[in-house]
Amino acid sequence: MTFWSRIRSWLDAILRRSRLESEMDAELRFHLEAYAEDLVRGGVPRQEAMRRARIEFGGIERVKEESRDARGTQLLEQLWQDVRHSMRMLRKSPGFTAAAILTLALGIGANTAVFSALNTLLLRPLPVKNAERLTFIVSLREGFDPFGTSLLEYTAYQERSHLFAGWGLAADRSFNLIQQGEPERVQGAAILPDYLSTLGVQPVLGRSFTPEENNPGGPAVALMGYGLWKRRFGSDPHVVGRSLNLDGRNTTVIGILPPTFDLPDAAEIWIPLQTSLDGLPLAERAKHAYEMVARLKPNATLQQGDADLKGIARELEQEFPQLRKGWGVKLISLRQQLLGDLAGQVKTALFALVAAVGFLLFICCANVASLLLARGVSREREIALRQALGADWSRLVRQLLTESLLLALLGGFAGLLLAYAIVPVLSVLNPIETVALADVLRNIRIDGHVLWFVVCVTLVTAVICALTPVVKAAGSSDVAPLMKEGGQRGSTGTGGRRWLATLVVAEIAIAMPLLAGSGLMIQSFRRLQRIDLGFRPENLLTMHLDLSAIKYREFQQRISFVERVVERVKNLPGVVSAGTTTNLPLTLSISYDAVFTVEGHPPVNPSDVPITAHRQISREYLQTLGVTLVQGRLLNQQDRAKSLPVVVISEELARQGWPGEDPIGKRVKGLVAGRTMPWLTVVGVVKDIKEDRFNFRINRPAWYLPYEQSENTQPLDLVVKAKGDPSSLTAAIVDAVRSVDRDQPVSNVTTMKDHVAGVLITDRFSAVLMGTLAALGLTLAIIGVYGVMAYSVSRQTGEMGLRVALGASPSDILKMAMGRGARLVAIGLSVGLVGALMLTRFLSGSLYGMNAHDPLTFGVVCLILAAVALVACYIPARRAMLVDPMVALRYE
Amino acid sequence: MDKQMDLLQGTLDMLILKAVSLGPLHGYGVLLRIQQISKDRLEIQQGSLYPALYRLEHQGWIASEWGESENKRKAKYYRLTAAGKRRLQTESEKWNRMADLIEGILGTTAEEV
Repeated sequence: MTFWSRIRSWLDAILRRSRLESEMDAELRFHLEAYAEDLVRGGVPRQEAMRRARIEFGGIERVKEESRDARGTQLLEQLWQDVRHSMRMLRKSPGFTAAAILTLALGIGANTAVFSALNTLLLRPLPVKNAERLTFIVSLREGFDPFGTSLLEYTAYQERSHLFAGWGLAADRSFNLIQQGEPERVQGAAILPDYLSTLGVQPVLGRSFTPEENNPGGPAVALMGYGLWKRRFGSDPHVVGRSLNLDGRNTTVIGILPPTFDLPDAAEIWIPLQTSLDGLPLAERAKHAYEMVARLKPNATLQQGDADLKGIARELEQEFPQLRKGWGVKLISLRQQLLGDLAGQVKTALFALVAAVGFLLFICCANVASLLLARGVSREREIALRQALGADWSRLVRQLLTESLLLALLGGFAGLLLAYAIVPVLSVLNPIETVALADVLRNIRIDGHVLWFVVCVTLVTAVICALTPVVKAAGSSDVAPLMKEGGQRGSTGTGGRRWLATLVVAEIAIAMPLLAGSGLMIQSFRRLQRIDLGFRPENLLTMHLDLSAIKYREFQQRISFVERVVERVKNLPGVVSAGTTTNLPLTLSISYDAVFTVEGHPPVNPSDVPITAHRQISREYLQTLGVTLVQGRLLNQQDRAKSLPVVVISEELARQGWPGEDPIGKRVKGLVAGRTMPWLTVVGVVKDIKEDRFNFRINRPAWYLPYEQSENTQPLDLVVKAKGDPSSLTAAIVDAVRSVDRDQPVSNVTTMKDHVAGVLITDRFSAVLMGTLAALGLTLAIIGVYGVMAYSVSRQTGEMGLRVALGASPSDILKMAMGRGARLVAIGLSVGLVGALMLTRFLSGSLYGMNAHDPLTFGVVCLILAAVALVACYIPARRAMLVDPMVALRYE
Repeated sequence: MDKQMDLLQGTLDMLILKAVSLGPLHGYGVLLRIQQISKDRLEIQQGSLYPALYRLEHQGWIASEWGESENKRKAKYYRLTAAGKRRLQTESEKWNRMADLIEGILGTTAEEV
């Protein structure tokens, strides 16, 4: 009761100040008038009565002041006083204020920018229900090589695991959508109806699939994405129920899915899978061609689900040894999959960045603290005096806190402005290789969460900055020596000196892991960039051609399409050569592999399943790509549909298949359960080509088969080598393709250079950012060290002068001043080194070809830091050495 | 009579609580009632009444409400809250104990020591 009334009156005081004021006026006026009336009744003349009432009442203003205090508004009044006082102090030293605000703005701005990336990638809600319970299932070959899921796994997991509340299955498809002329290639998916219900997605218009529609031979129906509906149909609600030409088949649109939803893999059209899961041959059911999602039950964790599925995968391995040998499984969160982060590297990179900006902020705080300290010392006497005169200790602390809070708020505001400038740059640097939900996950911006973050960081910053002067003030509670000090410049007391030393050590110790971490990441990125791709991406243009399954029913039709397209494109002016493949190197979408067996060399370990990247190529493809032939020949005119089946292999395949032997003329073949595959004769060996994006860091076997020698329905990628800038040829090439088939959609037109650059996007993002942050951190730390050293030397001018007067040589003085600095630098370095060694371990997963404790990186970082820090000590020490003893002493 | 604030500080609060315990009063009424019960032997600086009233209200011992005075004017009336009642009780007991004690001390003669 008492407590609440106090709170209420406090709130009243804050919120209804003016009302309370007028009420108080009215109350006091009533008192005066009532008293005056009584006096009049007692015979005093009216005018005289009012005057006497006032006199006897006492000073009205003083009464009001005391009344306000009694009501508990005191705290606010004092706060306002403190704020005004602080603002006066800040205005009085504009240089200090600007330096402090800029430093804080840098620290807070960098933190805000990185947090907004983190917020976008890891925290922002996705257009699915309860995204944090949704998981994605990755099939793993040999424990590391990620694949899609198979129907076999889908049924087994669904039947045997009880930790999941729902399952969903989808397969990537793409469709030729012909709508009023222009054909368009539309990305889509074939799904089981429970895919959408598991994700918790419902059509905004129309309805979802019924189970009957999913039966084999069911009706041709489709759901349409919001974006496609808006773009191609002007958001016409009558599209629902209308028929579309999808791959030449009339398909009825039954619903529109909500905006931004495009799972899996940027789909815009969804059709029912219409496959009988049990009726298919076993080999078909074992194909890893699906994307599987599952919703964890509320009490189940990701780890439990992962362990459960791993157990079931082991059972499958025993039940179907010929199909499942070497196959495992991994459960990751759906969000992680959407970030294209199967190995968890994006998370590592982001947290490295968060740590880096955190360290940067600490350095900024240390700098501001040292600025406050340096300035605070001149106020030491003021504070000590105020304490001696009975100022409340908590009031003094509040005053100092107000000052640094004010600085932090200004810094935070400037930092927010800075972040508004940095965030678009981050967005352009594009940290992730996402396919689906690009609108959500690529749109790095400052939203409400980020603003809250800024507020929190600002407050924390204020407290950290205030800590130093507060502790300092606490230490100087003994007034006597301060009061006795005659001049302005006494030497700093031991307490102060210890604080200065702590700041120097802290700045260096914090800068060390920041520099080491970014050094490692930059090194790793440079090594990744120098990886031999095995081909020359210069002047290459690529585009994706997906042939309609209905129009190109016969394989012969596909062969002649390829031949005619290559022929026409090759003869365009400005084109050097052209070729097609079934998968570009380093593609993000499904990449085809084959299990292979070598004639006369069955795998030593029967559980090994040798797998190679599988590419079917037109004759001049490898020449166009610019590969290096090591042995034998590339494909040529002799390799026809009916001639001897041949293959060109990569060095890695040669190494695995025929260690220490000449592979030319040897035979190898693919293994497909239930089918007899022909033996392929090796005619050439090429240097390893980086085909596999997800295993970019290692070499995997690859083989290249003549397109016409084995029948397939895979989409094609056209690769064209130009004499100059390849993108200028785009229109001519698309025309050439359309002259072969005017309905043929062309998609994903890009230069090979851009395509390759996309592979290292995460690494580049981290390297660039970490490098920038480290450079900033180093600069700030050194400015801080310099500032503190210069300050402490200048405080000792008198002492130095005295020593010189007593016969110390300038070099003695230099040694003395340097010695102190060097000792602090050494302590800072060793503390920082220990910290860095402990912290960089967390990076080891994302470093390529180097140890997280790489001695060279650590050595170089130590040297740089030590050298720069010593220079920062030397400059003020030298100034001390040159001091004229007479001037120094007189100054005192 | 001594009007020193420090001396009156605790006492004034107690007197106000006592005054409003006899029925709701406006500020001027509190003054009149105290003078009335003390039979005008106690003089109170009028202005000092209000900070005390606000303090007591802030502490939750009295509550206020706007009402109409005897001569049909708007006035702020104070009444005792439940917490205020308890407070008045403990204060009076404390005061009585203290008064007995002081009286006992002052009444001590040389022989009794």
